[in-house]
Amino acid sequence: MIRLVVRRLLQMPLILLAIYTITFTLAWLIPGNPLENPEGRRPPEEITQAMLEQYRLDSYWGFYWDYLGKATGVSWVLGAHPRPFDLGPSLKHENWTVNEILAAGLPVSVTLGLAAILLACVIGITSGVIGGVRPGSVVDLATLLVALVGISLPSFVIGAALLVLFSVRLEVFPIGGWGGVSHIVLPAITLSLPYAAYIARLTRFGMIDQLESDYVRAARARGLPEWRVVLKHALKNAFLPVLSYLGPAAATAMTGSFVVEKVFAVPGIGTHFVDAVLAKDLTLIMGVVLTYAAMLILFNLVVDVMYRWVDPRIEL
Amino acid sequence: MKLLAPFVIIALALTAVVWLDETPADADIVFVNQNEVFTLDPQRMSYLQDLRLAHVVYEGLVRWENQDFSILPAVATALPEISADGRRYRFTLRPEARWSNGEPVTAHDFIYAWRRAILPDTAADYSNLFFAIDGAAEFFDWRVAQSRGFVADPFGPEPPTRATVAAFAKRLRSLLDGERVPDTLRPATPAAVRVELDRLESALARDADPAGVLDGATNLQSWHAQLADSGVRPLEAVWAWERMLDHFDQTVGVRAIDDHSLEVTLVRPTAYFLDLLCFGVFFPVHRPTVEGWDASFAIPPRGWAAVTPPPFAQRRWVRLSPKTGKLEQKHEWAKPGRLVGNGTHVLAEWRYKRDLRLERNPAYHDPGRIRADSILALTIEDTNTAVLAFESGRVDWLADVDAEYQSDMLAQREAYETRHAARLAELRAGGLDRDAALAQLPPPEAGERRNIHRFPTFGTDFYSFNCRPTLSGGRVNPFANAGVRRAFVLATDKQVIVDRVTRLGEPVMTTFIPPGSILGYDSPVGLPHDLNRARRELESAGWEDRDGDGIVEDAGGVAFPTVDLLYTTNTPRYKWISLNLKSQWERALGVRVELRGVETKFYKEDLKLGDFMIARGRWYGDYGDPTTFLDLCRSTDGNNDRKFNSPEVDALLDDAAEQRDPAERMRTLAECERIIVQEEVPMLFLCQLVQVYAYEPGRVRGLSQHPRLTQFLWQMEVVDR
Repeated sequence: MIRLVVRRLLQMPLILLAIYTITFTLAWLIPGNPLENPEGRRPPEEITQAMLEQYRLDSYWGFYWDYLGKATGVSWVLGAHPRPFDLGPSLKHENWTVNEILAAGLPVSVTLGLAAILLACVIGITSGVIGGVRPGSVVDLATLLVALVGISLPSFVIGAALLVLFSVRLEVFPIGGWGGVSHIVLPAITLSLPYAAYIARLTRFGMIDQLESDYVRAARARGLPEWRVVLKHALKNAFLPVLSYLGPAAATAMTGSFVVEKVFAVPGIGTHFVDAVLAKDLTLIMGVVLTYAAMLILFNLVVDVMYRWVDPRIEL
Repeated sequence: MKLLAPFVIIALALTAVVWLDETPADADIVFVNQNEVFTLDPQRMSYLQDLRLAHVVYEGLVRWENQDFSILPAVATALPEISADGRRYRFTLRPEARWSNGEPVTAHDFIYAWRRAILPDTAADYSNLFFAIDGAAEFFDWRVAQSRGFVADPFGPEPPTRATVAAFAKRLRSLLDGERVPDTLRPATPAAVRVELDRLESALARDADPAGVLDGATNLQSWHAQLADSGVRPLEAVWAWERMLDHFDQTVGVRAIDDHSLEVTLVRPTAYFLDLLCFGVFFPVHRPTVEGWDASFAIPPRGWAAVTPPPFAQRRWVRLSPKTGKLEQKHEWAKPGRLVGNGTHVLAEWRYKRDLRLERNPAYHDPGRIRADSILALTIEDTNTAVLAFESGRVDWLADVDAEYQSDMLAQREAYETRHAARLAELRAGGLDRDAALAQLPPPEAGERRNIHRFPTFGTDFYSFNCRPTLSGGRVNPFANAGVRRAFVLATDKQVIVDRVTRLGEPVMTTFIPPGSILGYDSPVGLPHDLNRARRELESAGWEDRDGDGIVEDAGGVAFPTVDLLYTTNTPRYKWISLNLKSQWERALGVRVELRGVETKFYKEDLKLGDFMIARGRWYGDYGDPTTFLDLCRSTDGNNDRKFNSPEVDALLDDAAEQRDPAERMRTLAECERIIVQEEVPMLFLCQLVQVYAYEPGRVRGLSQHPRLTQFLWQMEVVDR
């Protein structure tokens, strides 16, 4: 297992470099000049040129190497730059550095994402188990319905509906914004629903499968109480597909959902990323993508390790 | 149990994180910024939400009275003395004016900020507004040339161009004959260099091939190699920077007579100069803050100008690039705790795309003017959520309701006003303003509302005609003919568009300048909606339906080219307007129109390349003079996307620039606008842009209704909050 972890960690920089190169090339090809306003007054030509030079936007390779050096800390090691892992100033919001933006936005997105995944697990596994134990029953059909709604209704509809119901009519939760437990509830529910639906389906099929297997029959034959059979024996094995789904799901949830963040005015990196792409804010795009990629790699690693922990028979 | 453990840990961690994060405290005024503030550096501002904050965080020499846009003193004690020729302004500054850190606001602060704005290194969008000041435009060009010389490399792998060699020669000349040149920058063989440089300059003057002249110039080449050394370049950058400072003092018409007297000399009497000074980009900044002077650097009570500034190494946010010689500025100083302003409020908190909090500036010289102790701006990008936040009472003022149902909200307001029309008229006759009168009425019933308000702005929505002689790829451009442009304008029913398409009830316009927005100026009347006249215009331009197929052809029988109508897809507004225009024109004129909706970036690119026949556009005025709009029609203007070129319009604009008598000048400009809106029509002017506000009437006070639509947050208050 140690070998796996080391190997993955050694692969990580290479994967990140590939992602950096591809993303940077694509972002570079977005038409337009990030330093210019999309509408209205255009500054004189000299000024545009001066700004492009200052931010190294006048040459592809110039920017590529300069940014790579600063972001990886190589420039810092060589003594050419005062800080390591400097993702540069945001091109569009010049009072902020990308590091500051990520430092402020990432905890928000991670908190929201974790809460959503947690909620999704609770809802999904509970309804999955209930449905799996009695397939075809009214309860099972009810969970199927909820899962269908969760998967097919877009989050901006669910989000807006929750806002109108709980914030405007009932006034239990605040409208948008961030800070305090009350702000997290509605966006977390909205974000969790599609995941919950998927987890519920996975668990349900897993349970049906496991409950028909020999070891469950043996357990029942030995006279174990049904709840022990279901929760201790069947669920443990039915959970494995859910676990492999949780890795990428957690990474996606934690790197922010554009729609949920927008609807609830949550200051996470999901909105920053989409806005950055629209504005061609190169430094911010690269910063978010690199962070996202690193998180995805790490989460897959964590899931693999947890696999082994849950089921020691699995070879890694 | 194993499975449960990670979930418990995550849940505990979550609770901890959420617990630590604080909710924003309440404030006296809460409003919504739909877009995050881009910058709090006044010289770099150009967005509405940024400029709104400029009026609170900083204060200029003079300010607008935002109800009628007359001009009042601000940091200046009174309006300036103006010399008889109208070119020299003398301001006296309030001795009690203070920066938020207690240092005095002096004339040097203004000169520093303005120099920053003019300097090409700062890349201020609005640097050309400063070109009203004597010598500013020359200074800008001088610094551009100086920077070009710094990087010019005529001996490099690229073959030298004339411009490179000229810039190079200029640089060497200034180093050879300049003042205070450090020894390391001097040539090893001055005499030989001088001979070669003389030869180079005379060759340039003769228009000889520059590459040939450089061939034998071995001394110049070795000096150039000496200057290119990485240890020498920073020295030259500093030397060039200091020459720039001297040059600024010598050429640009701003002068501090003493710490509290400022004299400004203009190129020509500029009637709207004081109005310009009320604009955010002319506000002062605190130099030690902007440059990040080391904290250990003691500032005397007279202010930073009394000491020699620290070397660049001890300035945190600025540096001279050894590569380009330019000043590179970081803008991270514009943060709470760092930013030093001289306005009514100081920046107390700013969290990216979250909230921004302002608090009363204890050092402000006229505390009686401030209505609200604290102001909170929430960033809510989703328009629907912003409206919900307002409805829930969390937000007092929504400056930009652009939810898709905004027109329905306006209709509800209409319904409310209609029901109470008689009582409203009575209250208004009793001397109440509209908001106060609305507040007196009984509360709205279901399907009605009174908290939505339409404010006309200082902006015009229009469609541009491509005026280039030919289209991209050399295709024939029918719109090069003013008659065709007039036909399209005459064939457009604008009222239908604002009533049925946008449904915002924008005031329809036939002119470029929003009516009543500029004191002392009346726009002429533009072209009406007249289908018969439209067809006649098209016929006299040579386009007629000759074969009866419903499409107009020229004399040779060639059909009118399909009109390429370009619009942006970022809001649905322009799609709907464009669709309507298409059907109007196809019906009225016998032409075919093809819509091309693109993303803003592609749109901008197409505008630059002239790849369109008709394109949507809009323009907001910046200062209180007709030229803020009309300059857009100048043939040389950088924002003239139409490449409209009329010697007559140019000449009238030039005349107006020289005229001293304000009434006569306004007549000249009105004549210029008449040509634009009646004869040449480079644009189809559609309507005045409106802004939809949401606030409870009577509860939020201090908003201005003037079409130049500028709100001062310090002047606003919320009663019974």
